[in-house]
Amino acid sequence: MVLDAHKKFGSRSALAGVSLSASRGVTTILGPNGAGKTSLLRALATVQALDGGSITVDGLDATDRHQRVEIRRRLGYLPQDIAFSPRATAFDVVDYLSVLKGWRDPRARRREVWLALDRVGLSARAGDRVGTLSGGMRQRLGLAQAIFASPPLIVLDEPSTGFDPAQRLELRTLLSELARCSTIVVSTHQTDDAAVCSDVVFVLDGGELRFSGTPAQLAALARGRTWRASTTTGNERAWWRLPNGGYRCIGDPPPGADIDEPTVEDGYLLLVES
Amino acid sequence: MNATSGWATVTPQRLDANWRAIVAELDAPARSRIERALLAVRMPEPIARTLVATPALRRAWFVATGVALLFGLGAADTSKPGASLLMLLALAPMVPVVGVTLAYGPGSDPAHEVTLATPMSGLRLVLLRSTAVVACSMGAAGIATLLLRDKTWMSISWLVPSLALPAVCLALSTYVAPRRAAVLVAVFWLVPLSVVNRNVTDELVVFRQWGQLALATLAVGAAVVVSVRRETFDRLVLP
Repeated sequence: MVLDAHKKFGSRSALAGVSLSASRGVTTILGPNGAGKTSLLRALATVQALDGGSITVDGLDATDRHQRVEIRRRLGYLPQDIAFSPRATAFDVVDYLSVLKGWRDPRARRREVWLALDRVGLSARAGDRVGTLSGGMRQRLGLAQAIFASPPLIVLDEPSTGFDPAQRLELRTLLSELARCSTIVVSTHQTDDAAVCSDVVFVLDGGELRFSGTPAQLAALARGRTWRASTTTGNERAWWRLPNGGYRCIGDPPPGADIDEPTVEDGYLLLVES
Repeated sequence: MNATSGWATVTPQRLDANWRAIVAELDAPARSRIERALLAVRMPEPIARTLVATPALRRAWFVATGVALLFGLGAADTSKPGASLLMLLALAPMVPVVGVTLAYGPGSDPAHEVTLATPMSGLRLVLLRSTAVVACSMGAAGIATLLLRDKTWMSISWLVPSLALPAVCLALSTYVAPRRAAVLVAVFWLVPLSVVNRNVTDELVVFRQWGQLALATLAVGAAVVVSVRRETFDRLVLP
């Protein structure tokens, strides 16, 4: 639960009174670059203090040092810019971080490390050094440490960065599996990811919350405001060319327009382009 | 327990779990020599893993060893025994400062942000790594001391500064970036030493009784600052 979160960097406001709550399932934070998504997720992951407002997880207050430790026991976190030492092996990276997560029994820990690597499809590369892994594999390694032992709260900042379409599909499947017993908060630019596996979507823009609801409700914002046309007039909010030579337009349709079924992306674009 | 048959109690889930446990043990990459050595001296496994799996620490240890070799070469220079002692006393405490700076923080540890999100206390992790680096660098300085031609009690007077300066560096790094803290410590240690060296007859005056007492007091003060401001090791500090 995030209540009235404020965060400033110099004179720039990254978060200006954001409040939201998430429960079991997938909660997606959408927003353009600089919207405040990373600041919000860092605060939620307790690694960055807020200037104002509060964050509670299962009733635990992130501002209290002892309660923050308890939150971290329940947390798996994938930052936006994750990096590991190129000389460490994939296994060592997850194993080391699991020690910091309080897993002291080596046998139980190793079992969970293998399971986490297996779930992201990296068990065959467990003994390889990070420096030899591709960008997508490194991202999956970051994901492995975040989902280690299926924590109750998983915070993922743009987890699909560097993923090809097949890997994005696998990520959706993984998140759907984890969502059965975890609360997953994901930030992404990919509106189609949000559309297919999110229970709740929040749209952030300029540090302010612009929308909260289901993907269907976000798509419904664009109902009656998307249409197909053979030419553009310049009055559209956004438009793009279709393979058949026509155009798909978003905004206030002209009279008699060929109204199209709206998507999550349409609703999102209408929100952030306004 | 099922009384009818031992086989009846073995569920597919249990078999799968057992198989995973076996695979995990067999397929786990071998521990490094350093880790095996630490385990051999009865260091708890999680601590050994934490120290060895921290790549930044390896760099810090490497620096400490390199500087120790330099000290050894300097100390072995028998043509200027007094100068090599002063060099040892002045520079030995800087080795753990450099090591501590390299051992943690966003500039040294690529996984710093993930580390912060774990329940391991930031201060505990910093102290664990710092202790490892300080112990290593003090050992290296000890070896360099053994290479000195004229060994007296003054030869080990780097001990207190070697504890005080890293402590001050840690205390300062609760206010500024760790590397900037190290630079500040270096400036406030080496500049006064060189001034004293030029203007006072006894060039080792800083390392005598009152100097040691002052440095010990400084170390205690720094420890208090670190303890009071421990929260800063738990949060991400952006530049």
